[in-house]
Amino acid sequence: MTDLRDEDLMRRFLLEDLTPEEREHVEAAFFRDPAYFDALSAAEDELILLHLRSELPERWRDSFQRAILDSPARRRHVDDMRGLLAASVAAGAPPADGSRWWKRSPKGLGVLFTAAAAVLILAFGWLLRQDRPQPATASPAIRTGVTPGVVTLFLAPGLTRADLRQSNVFRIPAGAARVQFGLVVPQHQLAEMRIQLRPVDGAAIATATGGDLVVRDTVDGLAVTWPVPASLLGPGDYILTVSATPAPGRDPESVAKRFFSVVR
Amino acid sequence: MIVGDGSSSDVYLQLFDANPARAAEKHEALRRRLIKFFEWRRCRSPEDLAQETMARVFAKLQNISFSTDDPAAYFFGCAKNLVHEDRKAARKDERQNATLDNNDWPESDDDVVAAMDTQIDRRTILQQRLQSLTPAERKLVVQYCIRNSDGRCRLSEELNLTMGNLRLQFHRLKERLLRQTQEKPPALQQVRPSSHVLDDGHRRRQR
Repeated sequence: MTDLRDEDLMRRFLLEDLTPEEREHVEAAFFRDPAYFDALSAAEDELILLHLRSELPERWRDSFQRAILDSPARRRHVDDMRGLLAASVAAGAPPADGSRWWKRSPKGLGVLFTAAAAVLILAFGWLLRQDRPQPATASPAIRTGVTPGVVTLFLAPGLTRADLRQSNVFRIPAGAARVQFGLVVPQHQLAEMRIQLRPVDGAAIATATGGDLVVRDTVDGLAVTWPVPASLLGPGDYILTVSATPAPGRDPESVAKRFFSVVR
Repeated sequence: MIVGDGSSSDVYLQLFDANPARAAEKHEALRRRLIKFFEWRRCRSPEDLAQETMARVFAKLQNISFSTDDPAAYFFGCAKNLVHEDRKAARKDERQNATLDNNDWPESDDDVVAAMDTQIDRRTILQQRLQSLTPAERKLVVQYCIRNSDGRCRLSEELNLTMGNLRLQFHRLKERLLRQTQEKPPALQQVRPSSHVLDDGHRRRQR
């Protein structure tokens, strides 16, 4: 007699690693018993969280990839959990001085949420850095829910080439048509912005100037997004460089550099 | 035993419970289970298939009788049939798509940026919704997310819950938060990241 509450069975069900008979048994049980369905769903959350925190045991990673990351519907839950994780990281940060300054300012609440949005962007960078203890783990690129075929890579700042193999490592799904880079440049005023993508040891494979980029001002600087064809990015190590003229009459200079690695 | 006469959706709801309010709740719970079933079976449009399953069971009310002991069993049987149909349709679509030119550039920049905006909006709303939880609920969600495995074990001890119960409580709160993110709060338009910095809250193309 199968013990349906056995955690190993539940995990094997979620990772599609069980016999057809076992699957049928589990499915019939969760249709019959809402509490069992909740337990299975909660176990799935736990697996996703382990993955996002790079705590998923090595022996489960291939199954997780096949069962969850390669399934568009289930990958959406990974994106949802990533959002909640980022929001929790931001919410878990203590206030700088403990005073409720936003209550004293008529525009304070708007500023608070503007700052919160910027914190979320930074939190993504923080989360990517949490992958460091397990260099072999590739962060799945964030796949947008409303535009299939487009994946978004948030490039974390402050990384050196030495960090490359431990962070900013992305897996781009085989079906992706386009990659959307996202990064925050810590300046608010830049002219003649130019962005260049090249392999670490090679020549430029794509460039764009201001007109090709989408730029938004945030409290932490300019959020730059740049779409490129996914076919440009084979497995390997890359550098994305942003250069610009910081003030009229001055020469262009590099204002941001991001190292990242792609696995397929 | 309920015998369908094909005259009313009331008969359909009675499959779940004699009390209409409880029946509606159970119906919604079953819909969520169906969606998950199709997701876990790797079907292409789980929500559509869940809807189709319910429509088929509803249609069957006209000519067969159901036992109310275990209505979910009928839905389960119907859902399994739909999985086979979906797989068959997917294989057919794959064959047809293989003969078409594959255009690798299907979306405009606006689509891509809109998708980015949707993600950012959703996460901003999630953070707002976290603040709407009670302090105890918020602590559970935040600490469950940001602690590692050992930390979550300690959290369960701190909250005097078994790990299974902690996991369940987190799951239910998470589901509630995600459902709430579907309802965009009216204040959001005023708090978009670039709203008062550049150009009335909209992105701009750099000149």
